[in-house]
Amino acid sequence: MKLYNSLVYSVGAHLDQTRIERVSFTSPTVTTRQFFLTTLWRYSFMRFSSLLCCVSNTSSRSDKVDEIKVVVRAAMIQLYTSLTLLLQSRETQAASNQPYTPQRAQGLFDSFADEDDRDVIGPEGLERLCTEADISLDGAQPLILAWQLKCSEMGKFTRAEWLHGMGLLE
Amino acid sequence: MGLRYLTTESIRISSLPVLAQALKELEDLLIRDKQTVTRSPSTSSQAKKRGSANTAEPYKRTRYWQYASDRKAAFAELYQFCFMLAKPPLVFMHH
Repeated sequence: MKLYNSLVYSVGAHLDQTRIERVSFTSPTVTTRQFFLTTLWRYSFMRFSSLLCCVSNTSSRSDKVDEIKVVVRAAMIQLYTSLTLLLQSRETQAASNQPYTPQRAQGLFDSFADEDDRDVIGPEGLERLCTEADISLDGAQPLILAWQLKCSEMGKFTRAEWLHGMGLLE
Repeated sequence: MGLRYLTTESIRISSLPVLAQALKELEDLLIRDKQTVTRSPSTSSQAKKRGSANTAEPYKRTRYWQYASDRKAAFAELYQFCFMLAKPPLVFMHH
């Protein structure tokens, strides 16, 4: 139990905010997803290796390894949650600070446009947009969006409607 | 001046967080009947008189303030739009 507690403390100490804040965000060419996966892999490998070293001379090694697996799994979940929240907040802040440009409005449309017809955001694209923007599909906000864009069809935005509504054709 | 003449006024949004913010503000204004958002100093009348740049607004709130000046009319317009959007197209049966 003492070993278990020390392991928990060890993992927990490395998951504190300082540790996460020290993660480098300096390379703009690396996407968030790539960066996150690389960091998670490096981190979990490093932690797991160091934990195995701690118990190399114990008598019931298999029991301890099981305990370590539980701890590492919990630590990875914590790490995943913390990093995801951190990256989301940074991305949201960065996106909020971006001024309006027609190119960004185009890019935003393109990222949710249908595969079959790139000039249309269909129901699936709309659902994805609402999910990523944290907009409830059951609420009034999708309807308000349709109203603002003057959509002619339910659950469907054309490129012209989007760009006109968002400001390109001002 | 009716609200329908304001619909070509662009809101100038090109990112998801700002879009979400704009939609939430409109929902709060027209559906939840909450108080209007606070005007940022740079868009106040004094700032406009000075000709300062509009840098504090996350998006262009011209429409928002028009809706806020007459919430009833704005809600009626939204209601009418939703009604027309949900209405099934007329189908004429020919025998």
